[in-house]
Amino acid sequence: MNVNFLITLPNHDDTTHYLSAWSKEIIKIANDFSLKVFDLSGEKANRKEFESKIKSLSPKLVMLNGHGDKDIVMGHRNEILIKAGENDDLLKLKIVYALSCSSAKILGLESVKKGALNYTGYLDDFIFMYEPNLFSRPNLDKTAGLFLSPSNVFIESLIKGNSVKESFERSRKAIIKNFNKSASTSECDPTISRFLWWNLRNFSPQGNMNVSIKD
Amino acid sequence: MSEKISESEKELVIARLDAIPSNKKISIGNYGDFTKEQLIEGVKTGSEVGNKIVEIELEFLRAMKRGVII
Repeated sequence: MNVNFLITLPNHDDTTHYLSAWSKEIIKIANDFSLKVFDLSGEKANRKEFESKIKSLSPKLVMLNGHGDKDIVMGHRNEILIKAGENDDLLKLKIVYALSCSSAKILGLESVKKGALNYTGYLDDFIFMYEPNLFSRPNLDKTAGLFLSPSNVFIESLIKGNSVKESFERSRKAIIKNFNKSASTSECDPTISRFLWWNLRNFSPQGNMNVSIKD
Repeated sequence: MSEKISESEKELVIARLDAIPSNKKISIGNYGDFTKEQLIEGVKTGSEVGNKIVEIELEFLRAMKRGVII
């Protein structure tokens, strides 16, 4: 597939460290499916680089990792990369996934109004639990994986050419599977269930659900 | 969360937070990363993250009561 994929990977605190680490698998899969991957890692996840790359590459698929709020998504050291009403037109004709807090609420809606094909994110805070003793090896952290693996299901499904609708359902099923496991079996920490429920409740696609990167 | 949080609700949330294993931390968006002890302290003092975790816990329990968890 001749598709450009832009992904931001800020890494300046525990949360962004985990999000970036768990996104490495996404990059591998994107390469396997012959997408052209452009990653803005660490310091490169700044506004100047982001705006430059999104304008010059016109990526069909964009994944934003990082902290956020209702109208913004941030990059490295919480520099604002994109803000509703300011530069959200940069998302025009793109399929966007924001693993970031609350941005689906305003930025998602506004970017779709400006022409984004779809913006999927969260309506409130994204929450995950992790094991600090595995901080240096976050991909081995099974607790974090219960939250971040279902998130990866969404973007990986998009990379494979499935529609937003199909990808959203697959991701929801993965969250529900982990929720049920945590709520009903002894093999899993039951205290994670409320946070999985919270993420599921706030996981929200905005815009056209039938688009895919193949369109 | 605009509703006033009662003392009994706080106690319930604190008990539920106390069940989280001590070897785990919780990343709560822009609020940061917390141990269960820090969250419990936040609930007791009524900090911003404390109120947020109360909101999450109570909404989860209400959803369970309604039987519409997912």
